[in-house]
Amino acid sequence: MKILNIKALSITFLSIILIAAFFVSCDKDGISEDEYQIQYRREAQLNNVYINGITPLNSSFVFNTKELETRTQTFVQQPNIENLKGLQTQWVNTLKTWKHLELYNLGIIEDSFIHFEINRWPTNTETINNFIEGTETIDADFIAGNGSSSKGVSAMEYLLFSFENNQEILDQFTTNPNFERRQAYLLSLSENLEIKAIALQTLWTMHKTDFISSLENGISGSQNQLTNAMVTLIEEIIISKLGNPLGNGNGGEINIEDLEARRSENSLLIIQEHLTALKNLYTGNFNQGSINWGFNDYLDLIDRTTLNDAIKASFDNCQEKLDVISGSLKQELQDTPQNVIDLQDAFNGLLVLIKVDMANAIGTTITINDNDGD
Amino acid sequence: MMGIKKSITRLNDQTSILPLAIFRMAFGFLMAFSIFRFICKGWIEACYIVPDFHFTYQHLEWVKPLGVNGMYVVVICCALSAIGIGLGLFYKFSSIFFFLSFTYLELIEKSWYLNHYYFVSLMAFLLIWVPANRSHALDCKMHSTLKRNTVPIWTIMIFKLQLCTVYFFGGIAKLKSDWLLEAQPLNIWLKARTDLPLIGKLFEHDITPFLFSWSGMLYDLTIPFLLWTRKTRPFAYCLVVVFHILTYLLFNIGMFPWLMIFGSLIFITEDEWRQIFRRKAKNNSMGNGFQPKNSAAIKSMLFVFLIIQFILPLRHYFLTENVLWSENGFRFAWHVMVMEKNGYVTYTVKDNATGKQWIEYPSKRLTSIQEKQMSFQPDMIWQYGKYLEDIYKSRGMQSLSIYANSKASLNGRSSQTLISKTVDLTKVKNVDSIYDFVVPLKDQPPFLKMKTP
Repeated sequence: MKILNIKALSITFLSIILIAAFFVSCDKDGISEDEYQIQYRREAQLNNVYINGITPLNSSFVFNTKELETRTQTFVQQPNIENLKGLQTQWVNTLKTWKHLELYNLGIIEDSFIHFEINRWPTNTETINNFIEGTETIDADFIAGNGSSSKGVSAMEYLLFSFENNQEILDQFTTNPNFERRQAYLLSLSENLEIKAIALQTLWTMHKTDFISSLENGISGSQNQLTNAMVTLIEEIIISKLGNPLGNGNGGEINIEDLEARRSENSLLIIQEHLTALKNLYTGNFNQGSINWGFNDYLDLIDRTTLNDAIKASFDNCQEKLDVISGSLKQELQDTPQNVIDLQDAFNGLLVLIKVDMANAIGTTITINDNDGD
Repeated sequence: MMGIKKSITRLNDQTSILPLAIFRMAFGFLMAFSIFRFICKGWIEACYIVPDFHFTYQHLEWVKPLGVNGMYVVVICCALSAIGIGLGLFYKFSSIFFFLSFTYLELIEKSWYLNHYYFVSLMAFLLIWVPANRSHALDCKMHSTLKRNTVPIWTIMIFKLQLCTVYFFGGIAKLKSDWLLEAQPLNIWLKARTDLPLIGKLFEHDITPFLFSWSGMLYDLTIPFLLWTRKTRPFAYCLVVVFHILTYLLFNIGMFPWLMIFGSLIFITEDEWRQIFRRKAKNNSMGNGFQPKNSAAIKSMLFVFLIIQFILPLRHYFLTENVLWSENGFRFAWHVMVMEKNGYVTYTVKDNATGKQWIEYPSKRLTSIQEKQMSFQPDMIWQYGKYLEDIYKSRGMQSLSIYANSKASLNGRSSQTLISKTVDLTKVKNVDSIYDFVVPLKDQPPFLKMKTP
């Protein structure tokens, strides 16, 4: 019996080794041309995303937060309408860059929760007011020690924009009680944001090698992480940024208070920047020139051209529905909510293609499920 | 007729208890390990505590989880009873408690259904009726009169038949065009594992998924016979080990491979164990037999049990044209690893009194596993729709319409609508009726499409 066992085992293992050797010997260097192309394209895609996408965005974000801090200094030293407008414009520039960078919340970046520190939405206005009305010294350390809901991009929006007019804001920084503490809070926020922008850039520099070299198909593979990042952002747009204002969470009652960046009326701009960021990542086109490998090339390579065409058409559909909205999102929700519903539907279509079809095609989904077998 | 009668009579003949004792120990300790692993992974919280809503089984809606402490007590006691089975300690109580507690845990949440959990429940049920503690057990140490060297053949055969059922119907479930002609889902799964050291390169080739699919199907269909036949058994058991270790390495299938590897030990006879360890046979091995009380009643009950086991895996042929798509009759039928399916569902809720309508996102109320599993299973999509109906009715909205916006992708096909968008789920009164509204699968997998001119 034992001899039989060993013999049977040997035959089985030998057969496997022989079959393996047969396959491996079929190709030069033990890798097929197709697989070489797939790995090459995947590596090229990740290099492209890092070098032409993430790195310039990080540089731009650091630049913008630095400029924001400078403009804040100017406004605090000379609070007037002109300086306020200049600061508001710079805040919008910072927001626009951030809404691209926000897509790339993955790997050690996600684990660090730094995205929360930079932009937690909605901001906690009550806490901010309590801090300003309080007695603790307001400086960079104070802000650093506070929770993410009272700092970052959204907190600055609360201090810089009014539902009424700029004079109201100016009064808050010049004549209203605690105006000096409000100035200190604003300045500390901008300093903190710049520090976080640099920290994020450093994290990405540290993560570079891991990100580019994680070519595997598993959940830790960078391509899969990018797919999941796209899914997360699209769901965020559908559920939180459009769904909640449409009343999806409260029985169909339009709720403009749930709009992101409602004070500055940049809710629509945010959706546009997200859409552009998603499209850039999908196509690998970051306006860098002719080499722009993205998911579209990858799908073509694995013979899923029809799916690629469907996704590109879906991106166009989202843009089309976005372009229909000419004013602010707030106004559109009040006047023609159907246009916002159509935009949400367009993103839903895109979500199904990315989350179900593309993830299936590139084998992303099979590694997500953390269960115990079949 | 005489032959059948003779065969039935032979089931009462005595055979060595050793295979049964070894199976009992392997099963008990493996289950204990599996349950402690379940605890360590935080799955008590994820499965029983965190969800506000549970997907219950039809007619078993009354099975509910206890609180945090209650669930921990049940799961830990379940693990202890598994150890009791392994040790052969208070065996009757341990096996009954293990069966009841494990089955209770399994029935709480449908989204966590796994074929191997079902298999464990079945095996645990069978253990209750056999004298597996009459040898190599602490019960025998405490009460030496319990010890027996032999048991009736049927007490071992019932486990063999159950194990063969899993393999055989698992093989039948693979006799589908997706599996045989498209090599799906292995085509997707293996292409996603080309990064695996050494063997990963094999998966680059288009022919590999076909080799795996066909050999997997042939393995499932033939392994019961190979294990049953004395001459082929050594080779068959080696094949079991190699096959399941390979599936363990390739796929995220937890305890299933180990369960089958250890479960198949039931086929190895005492003589074979002696040959393996080069021990001489005992002379008195047939001298101390055991015949359970109510043997005839138990055998009749187990016969009915087996009939049910043969019918359940085939019921889908009478219920649906495409069991992978509609999943009508999919569970409890050994559809093991036959599909890669995912989907996305939202619900449109309409308050007919005000005319207002809005979208409901399941991610707001479900865990990620619940949401994922529901997204492609019609019965669960219906269940969640009813849950939404209850929520809004409790808020005073008495006239509601609820529609599912569902898309699913099966084995590499493009996503397609799963449940008709026009069906008002509040009007679908029972779970069986939802299958009438499953939109037939239209598309074919991309691989076949590529080859079509």
